[in-house]
Amino acid sequence: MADQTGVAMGAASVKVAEGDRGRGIVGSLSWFAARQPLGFVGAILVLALVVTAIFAPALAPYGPKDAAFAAYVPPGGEFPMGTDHLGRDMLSRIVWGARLSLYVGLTSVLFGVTVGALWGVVTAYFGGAADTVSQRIVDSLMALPPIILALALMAGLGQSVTNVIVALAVLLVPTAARTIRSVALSIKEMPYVEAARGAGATEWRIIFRHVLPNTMATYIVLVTVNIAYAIVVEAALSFLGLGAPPDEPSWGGMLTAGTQALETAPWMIFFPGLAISLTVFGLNLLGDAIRDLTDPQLRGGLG
Amino acid sequence: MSLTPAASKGDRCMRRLAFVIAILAVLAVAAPSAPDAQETPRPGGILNWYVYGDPGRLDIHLESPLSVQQALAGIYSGLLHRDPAAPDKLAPDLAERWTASPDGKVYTFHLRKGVKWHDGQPFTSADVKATLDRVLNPATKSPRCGSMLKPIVAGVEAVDSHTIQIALKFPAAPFLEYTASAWCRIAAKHVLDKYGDLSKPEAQIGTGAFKFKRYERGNVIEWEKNKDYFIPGLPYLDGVKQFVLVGFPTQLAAAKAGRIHLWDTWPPMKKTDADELKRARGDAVHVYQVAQNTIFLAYMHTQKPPFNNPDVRRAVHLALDRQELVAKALEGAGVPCAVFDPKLSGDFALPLEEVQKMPGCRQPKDADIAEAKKLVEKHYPNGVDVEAAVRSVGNYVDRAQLVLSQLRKIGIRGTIKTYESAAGFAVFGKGDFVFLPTQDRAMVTVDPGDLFSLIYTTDAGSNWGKWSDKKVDELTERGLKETNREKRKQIYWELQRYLLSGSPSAIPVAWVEGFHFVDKKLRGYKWAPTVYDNNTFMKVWLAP
Amino acid sequence: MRKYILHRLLLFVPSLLGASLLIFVLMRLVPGDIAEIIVYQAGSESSTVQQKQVQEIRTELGLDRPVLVQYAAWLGNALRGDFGQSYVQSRPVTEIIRERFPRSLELALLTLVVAVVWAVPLGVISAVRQNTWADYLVRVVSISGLSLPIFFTGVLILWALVRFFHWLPPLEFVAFFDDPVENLKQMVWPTLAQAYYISAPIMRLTRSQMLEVVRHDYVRTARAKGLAERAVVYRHALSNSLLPVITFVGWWGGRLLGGIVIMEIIFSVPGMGTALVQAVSNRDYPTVQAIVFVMALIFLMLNLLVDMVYGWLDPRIRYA
Repeated sequence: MADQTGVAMGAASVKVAEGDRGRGIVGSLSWFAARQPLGFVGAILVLALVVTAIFAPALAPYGPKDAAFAAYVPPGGEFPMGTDHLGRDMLSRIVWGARLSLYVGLTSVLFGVTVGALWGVVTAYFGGAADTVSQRIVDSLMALPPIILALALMAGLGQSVTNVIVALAVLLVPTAARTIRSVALSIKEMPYVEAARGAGATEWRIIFRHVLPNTMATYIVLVTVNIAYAIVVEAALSFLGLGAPPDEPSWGGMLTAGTQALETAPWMIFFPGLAISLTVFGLNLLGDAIRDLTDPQLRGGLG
Repeated sequence: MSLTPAASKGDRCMRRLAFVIAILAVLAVAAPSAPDAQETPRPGGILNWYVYGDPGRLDIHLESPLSVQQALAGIYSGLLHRDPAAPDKLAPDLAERWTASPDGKVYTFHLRKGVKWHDGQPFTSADVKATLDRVLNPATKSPRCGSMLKPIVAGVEAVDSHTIQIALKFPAAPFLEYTASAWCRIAAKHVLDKYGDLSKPEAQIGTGAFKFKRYERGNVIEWEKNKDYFIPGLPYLDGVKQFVLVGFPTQLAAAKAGRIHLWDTWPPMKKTDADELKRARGDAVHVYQVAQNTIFLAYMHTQKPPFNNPDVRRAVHLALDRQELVAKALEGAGVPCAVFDPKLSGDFALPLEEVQKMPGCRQPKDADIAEAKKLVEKHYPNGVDVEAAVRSVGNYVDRAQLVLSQLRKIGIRGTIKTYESAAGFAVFGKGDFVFLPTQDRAMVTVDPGDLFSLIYTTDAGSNWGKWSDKKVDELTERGLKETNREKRKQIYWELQRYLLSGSPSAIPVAWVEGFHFVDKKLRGYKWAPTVYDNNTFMKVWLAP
Repeated sequence: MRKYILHRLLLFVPSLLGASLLIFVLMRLVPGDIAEIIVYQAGSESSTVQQKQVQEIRTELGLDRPVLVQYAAWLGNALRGDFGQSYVQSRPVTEIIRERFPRSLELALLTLVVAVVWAVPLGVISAVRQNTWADYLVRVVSISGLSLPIFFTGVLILWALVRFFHWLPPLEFVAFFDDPVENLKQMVWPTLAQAYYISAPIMRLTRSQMLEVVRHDYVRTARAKGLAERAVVYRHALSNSLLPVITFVGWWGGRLLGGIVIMEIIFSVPGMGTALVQAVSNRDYPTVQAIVFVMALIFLMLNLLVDMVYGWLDPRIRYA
């Protein structure tokens, strides 16, 4: 199974770049485009995804589950992307699929990374026995092959979009917890935390006011990088027959269905394949750019 | 009436004739073995094909998956079998001949002499007795052979070293059919004694045309020619090799690349796959559409609302548009609404002209849908919501969606809950569902009684909807015991009419057909009416 | 150093216990067990007989006991090296692992080697030529590998081989040491697909590490001393950039063993991944348990190994 995860990559040392404020939107954009042309392309692709997702009901000519037409109609005319094996309009499914992919990617990652982050921060801050035990739990979770977790969860919970989100989130929790914990450990030793403690702030206040906000940069990177991961893993689960139910317009599911009519209806793989790759491509480019920008050390080149 | 081969010849011929006509009708264009009838078989060569999954335990008496049968079909012989050269009839195998007592309750089988097990031991009646005692023992849990024979067989006696007598509880019409089943093959007593069961590869000692040579789990299963096979000159092949291919794209690619000689079991190829294969191989392969001896059912739980109400069940029956389901879900490959497929059951099947005029089965649907809507409104004026349990295998979810969209027209609003394959069976078996929009059940033999004792009687093994109907139980019992073929036919016709005009738990949606292929180099291959009888490969040969 | 390793090895114990308990409980929470599969799938005996049979099989396998009692029994046996019999294959699960493990290991190693050999130089080029067309091209090419679900790449490769070359990789797996040519004819395709997929993060990491390291003082010093640019890049910058890359590759190695299941399925390599997926769907608990145990152990060992290599390459890191 695909378990591409970016979380292990140098996320710990991210700091939000300073001094880029006050340029105005157009200025910022052109600055960004010049600075990170690939990132800019990524941003446009992601923006296209978001717009499609938001306006799906208006953009899609038919419902994504309406099996109301002839099967295997080639693209053109009434069906710009053709119809699938059950006579559903591919364009409508692709458009609604954008919403589903974004929903699955965003919620699973937000959910997984947030739980992981809270876990990491709290255990790092309190340390001691709780931290040791929690570390072992994280170890145990990480040592389990993700495939088995995903399979067992999907088989156990049953196939639904919500359960796909739960399974993907569970996969992300341990790595997020570990990464955020290491960041929180260093923040804990910062003078301002000491100062807050000296001023009599409660433990929880320190955690939420001082430690947590300072892990935000790492958190953002973790989220950006893993949305693409979640979309691809959902597709892999679909291939194994344990993704979102096949009637849902999930790009992964559509691609899987398309591999069963490779020559009869190549449009059934072409469009979902294009949609997934553009989205994941865009998210990755944008993620790279954000990482580059938030890490001031990476500015400038070799020369 | 007596059931000796000679005496029943008339019946058998009639049935065969009907059967042959039906088969010819389907295979008119692409009969796989038509052109080579005159050729002399050429010995040698290895046949390659695949199995869709690892068979795991290999015990032919204890297991039920098709993959087990595929792994072992050529290894064992039965008392009777379906002759691969003429698979539409039962033929002697280990039993040279048999006679039935005048009351039809005792069968005497005279066994072949000089037959040797693959390990060189002689085959005797003790082996047959050991096998039958084993499957008849309830502790053995034999799901196929055992569950067929247990209700009808009273006892087994070895008369001498090569004669065996089987006493029946009553003259049971399908007895010979059951005995010939690929799941009732004879195993060696000394092997059973040595290993306790047949689950291990080393326990696969049979009398069949091939020896079990090698089984590398998840990878490959190989048979080699049994040089001491009891029919001289057979088999023609030097061996058979089965690749374990779990990935669907891999299976299709293997067929397109010409690396396998045939595919003739479950699941059949879809139409799109068949087209793709034809494009890739052109004239080198025969692709044919064929009945799968499998029925596509929709189950309703008769003890849970809303389907505890017969009116609502009847409404579902009326509303389902089988023709659309066959056209869309089965890509046209299926017999809509039939309780039996005439291609398999011959004239035991209610004529399709009659079936297709019955309410619920006829086109156009308007009147039936209006009637169904009224039935639902009578009890649920605002319609009703149901949860539809679907195993997420094959195209079941697609099918379920079509079923639900049809039912929405009559006020039954279904939402799909999918189950992983095994989890689904657990839920169905325990009856933890309200509605199963789609589930296929394959028949083990072509005897018409099988369907009822598997699906419809009160204690049927797959009566998941817990339907209980005295008339069905009684007619099924009578059908099992009736030995006059014409009377038997009338019983099954009555049952079919009763199911189609009533409100059973399991609605027959269609008999499933699908596409198979065979490489034209593979000669002498004939397709048998059940997927379990196709693959002994004892009489096929490879042209250069 | 020895003390450190010992300490880390001790930490394996709770991790493995936790992982095995977790999977033990999780598998039993999934509906359907082997008894129900055997009995209900055939669905041929009467329903009362079926229920009785399910109970009998459960009793026979000890599945009717409380989960924690079952776990204790499993653990007791496992500690003695007995991982039990597969429910489905009627043989010890250790045999299954002995058979399957080398195949997945081979595929994982090939994938890692190809990915590193391809991705690290690209990462260096991309860093050295930062923000030029070469940089963009390298990044676009490698990130596009990440953008297609791996099963799709695999299916396309298979389809294209048949369509354009009328050729298909071997369907039967042959061990490398039995017939290296036949083995590689089959293994090269999943290797390429998987390596293309995982090369993106390796390339990206190499690139960002290179960019970071070149700003360090010793690189500046080296450059000031007049060393050729090439020497600076390769001797100083690259060797230091490789540390996190090694970490990542090691981490990936542990993941890959279970992660290549889709490639195993599509290219019919009977490895650990397919065995695991099949065991899960058959509810073959002992097999699931043993495979997960082995995979977890390897994951932990690789992590330890990576940390040790790390310390060995970078003397600044001390083992506490």
